[in-house]
Amino acid sequence: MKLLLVLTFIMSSAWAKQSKIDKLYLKSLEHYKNRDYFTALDLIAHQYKYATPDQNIQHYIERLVGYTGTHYFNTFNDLELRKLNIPTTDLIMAKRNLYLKKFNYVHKRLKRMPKGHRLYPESLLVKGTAYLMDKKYQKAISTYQKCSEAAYGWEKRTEDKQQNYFAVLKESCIINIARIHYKQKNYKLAIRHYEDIPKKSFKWPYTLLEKSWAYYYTGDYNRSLGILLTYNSPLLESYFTPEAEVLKALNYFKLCLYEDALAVIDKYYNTFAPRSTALKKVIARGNKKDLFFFNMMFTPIKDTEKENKFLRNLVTQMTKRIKYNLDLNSFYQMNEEIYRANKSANLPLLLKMQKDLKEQINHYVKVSMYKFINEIHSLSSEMFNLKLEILSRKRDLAYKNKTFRKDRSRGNFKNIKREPHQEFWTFRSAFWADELGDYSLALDSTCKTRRIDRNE
Amino acid sequence: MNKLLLLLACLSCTFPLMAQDKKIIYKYKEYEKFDLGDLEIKGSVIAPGDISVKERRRKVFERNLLNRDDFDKKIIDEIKFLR
Repeated sequence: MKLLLVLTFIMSSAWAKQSKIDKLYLKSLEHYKNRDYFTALDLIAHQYKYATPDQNIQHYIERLVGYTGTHYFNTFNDLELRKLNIPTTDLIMAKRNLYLKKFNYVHKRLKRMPKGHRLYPESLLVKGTAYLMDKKYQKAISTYQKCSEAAYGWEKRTEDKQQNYFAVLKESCIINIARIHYKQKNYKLAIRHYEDIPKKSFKWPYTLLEKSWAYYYTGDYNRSLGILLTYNSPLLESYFTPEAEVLKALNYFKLCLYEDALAVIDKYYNTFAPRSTALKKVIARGNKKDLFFFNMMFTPIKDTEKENKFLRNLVTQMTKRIKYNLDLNSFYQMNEEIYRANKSANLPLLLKMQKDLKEQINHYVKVSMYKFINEIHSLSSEMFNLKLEILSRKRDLAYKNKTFRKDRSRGNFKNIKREPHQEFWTFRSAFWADELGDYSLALDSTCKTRRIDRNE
Repeated sequence: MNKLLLLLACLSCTFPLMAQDKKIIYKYKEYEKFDLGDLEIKGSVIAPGDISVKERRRKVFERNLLNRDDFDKKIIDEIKFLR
């Protein structure tokens, strides 16, 4: 009799729990139908922090995340993410493990990622990176290859921003293959892969610097310098990177064109370093204001540029990043949900979520700007080091009573190394879009020395 | 008592044997004669014509210039910038 009572009690409590979940699901579904996606997601995901949902609800949550973005789960801990047991949370956990260098867990989390899922290409990118960091280069290359193919498949069947996202993923995987070859010192192979990135791509300006490094290590300093000159074109002005200036000086140094190298170093100290210090002041001033960086992203670029020229570069680069665009998309979605003012929408929750998102974007922009300033300052020590090396080489030459055999000249066509597929055009003081990234200088190396005559 | 006698007999036998070591005689080197006039040294006599200083080899110090071995940090950053 007692047993029967206990069983009845257990069954009734389970039934009550199930009916509560069913009610929540139905309520969430109602929000979903009213296009209140954030309210719907919060209602259902909150319920499954400590219990794994059934397959039906898992699919439902996945569908909701398609509208809201994944940032909702950023505050979930690993245990809560595991309970949800859906591809989105698996990917978030895999990324966390990647940053912690727990590569086995990365593979474990991504093992069940369905091939047809929209996050599949991104999961392959994460998986390939785990192999790369674990020094399993062949596996990394084949995984990146699969990633680029999967992303290309999605790129063909999507539109607008989604299409851009998959294009960036595809190109990231190709660039990472190039980077593996670079790391293994197969510079020519790396260059071949860098060349697979189309010039119209958002990633392309960033590949120029890496390609220049590859040419630098192959000893083709003229080509390396030529590619770096692309950053001088008005189209790529916003992509200024301090490392390009250091590499430029290094190339001149290798060609023993010490005066040219010193000119680049001086420009770095006289133009870029003060500009970066001024930027630091602007940022420090704005730091006291609430959401200063978030608001800066919505200020007209002409006004931002007045404050500091680097700000324009940084804002332009930031607006093209996937993370920023996804977050902004979520922000607008929330706005829509707030202003639609559906009676059923959870307004306090939406306003709180939107404030959180604004703070996230604000922090992200701020960190990126400080990173840029730090890069300029850390590289200035590299420039100083190079300057010392040049001065010491010049002193050695003076002590030996020697000078360079040739003077700095305008160069010679014979110094241009050209692959069969590369065409040759002379530069006529104008940057043509289709030529960008294919420049080469023709400077003579002046490294051979001679004794100075007494009569000189 | 017998044993003691036997031991004494043995010892008395060994003393004459030890006294029979060879006698070493040390001799100084005998007189040797050198004819200095007859000695001949092969070679040529040279003298410096002008003052010359041998160049001292200078130690060449090379600084570690910027190297870019990989882009691993960038790869991780790019994943962070995705979402």
